[in-house]
Amino acid sequence: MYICPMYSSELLKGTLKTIVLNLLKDNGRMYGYEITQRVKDLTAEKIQITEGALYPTLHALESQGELQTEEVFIGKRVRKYYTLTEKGQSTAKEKVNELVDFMNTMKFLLDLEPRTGNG
Amino acid sequence: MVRVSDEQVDFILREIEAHGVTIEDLQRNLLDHMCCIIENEMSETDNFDQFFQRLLPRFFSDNLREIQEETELLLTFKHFYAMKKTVNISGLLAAGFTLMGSVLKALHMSGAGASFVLGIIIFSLIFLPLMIALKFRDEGSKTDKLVLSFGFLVGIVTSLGFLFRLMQWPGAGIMMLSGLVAFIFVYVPIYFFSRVRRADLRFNTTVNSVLMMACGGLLFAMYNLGYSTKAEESSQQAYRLLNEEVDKMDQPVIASVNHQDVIALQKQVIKLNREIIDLKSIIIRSSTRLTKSEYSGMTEDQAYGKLPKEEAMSRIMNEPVKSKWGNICKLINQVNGRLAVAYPAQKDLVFEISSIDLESNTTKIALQNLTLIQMHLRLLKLIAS
Repeated sequence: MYICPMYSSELLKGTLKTIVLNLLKDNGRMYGYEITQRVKDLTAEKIQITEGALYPTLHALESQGELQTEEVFIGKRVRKYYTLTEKGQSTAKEKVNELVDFMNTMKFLLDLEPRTGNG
Repeated sequence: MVRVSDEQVDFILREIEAHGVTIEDLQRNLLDHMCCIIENEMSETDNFDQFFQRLLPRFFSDNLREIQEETELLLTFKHFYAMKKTVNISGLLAAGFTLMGSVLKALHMSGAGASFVLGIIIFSLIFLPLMIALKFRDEGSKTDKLVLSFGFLVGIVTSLGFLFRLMQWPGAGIMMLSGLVAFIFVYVPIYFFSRVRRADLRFNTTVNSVLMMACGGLLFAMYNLGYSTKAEESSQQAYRLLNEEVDKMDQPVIASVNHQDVIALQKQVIKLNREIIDLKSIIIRSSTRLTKSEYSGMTEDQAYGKLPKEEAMSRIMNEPVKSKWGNICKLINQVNGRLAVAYPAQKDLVFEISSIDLESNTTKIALQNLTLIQMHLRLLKLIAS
């Protein structure tokens, strides 16, 4: 799924949708290549999304109504820009919250950080 | 920065197609992505063909078609959930409508037919076809897929047969019969023998097969419990013969009778007979959909012949029949009264109307009972002459 010099693909499975949705939330309109490059830059090449994983996810999100597209002709080829729909906006928030909660739970589970609050 | 020429764009697109990617949307995405990589990562001195050959494997581990397969999988996965949801909803709706139809029918309330029709349509045209599609996706073994799909197909034909019967559309009988025969004699044996050899499925298969055979057998037995036309024919024939005999002697004999009570009885008998003929006409016409003129243009025997076979199973009571039957009951009591006055000694000739429960009779039984009353009236007329 991922070409990832640092993390195993098992570790990252299930986060691709969250990554894509959150990137689009922050950047508005993006196309496929741009998404892969942004992830690579932001993570200092620790996470690299492969095309084989990105496009099926983009198509699935589009068919679920999370994304809308806009096509722009560049010479003879067509570039497809993706933006979040309203549904996509709320899904992006949900996914990020879910992931943050999961990471906090993992930190506690692995005893990396003492739990604070009522827990 | 290198610019990808139109010829190179065409070349890349051809390569993408040649590698088995057929979804146009995906082709465009991949084309643009490859062009972006070339434009950003290829140096002026690089050879395009060599660079492209190095670039291509970045998109897959075995071949480029993987991306399309992954896309299709994700898309059908979504449809799969939608289908399962639709199966659940349509199953509940079909069951609900059928149940509501049964309750309404039992309470003689309106809307029963519409509920049944909706229930059966949802069941046979939405629920069962979706089940076939789901089984084709779910089941691992090809035999299981085919056997279960065949079963659902038989279910569709049989339930549509029920719908056709309810709507009195042509072809209901053959659909129901062929569906039931295919179910009991083809599907259940195939289901049983294709699964019973597998140890993990043996118990469930045996139980399911017995249940299906029992349910199918009961339905089949009910279907074949056709009303015997022999009894009906013989009572009709007896009535006709009696009629002919009485007709021969009727006219001269009636003229010779003078006694007032007997004449009153005869008049009452004739009136009652007319009412019964009218009621028979109403019942037969409503079952055969014959017009009044069509009905009057044929003999009673011919009209009987037009009655659909399944009328042996359906009830006849509706408002016109009910009011006519009420009239007839009153007239029979009057005839019994006249009979008691005219022939006080002939107590055997009193007709016990309580012996006939027309409301619970099926069409053919009701007609037979009416013929029975007519035969009795003929006898009275004969005696009164």
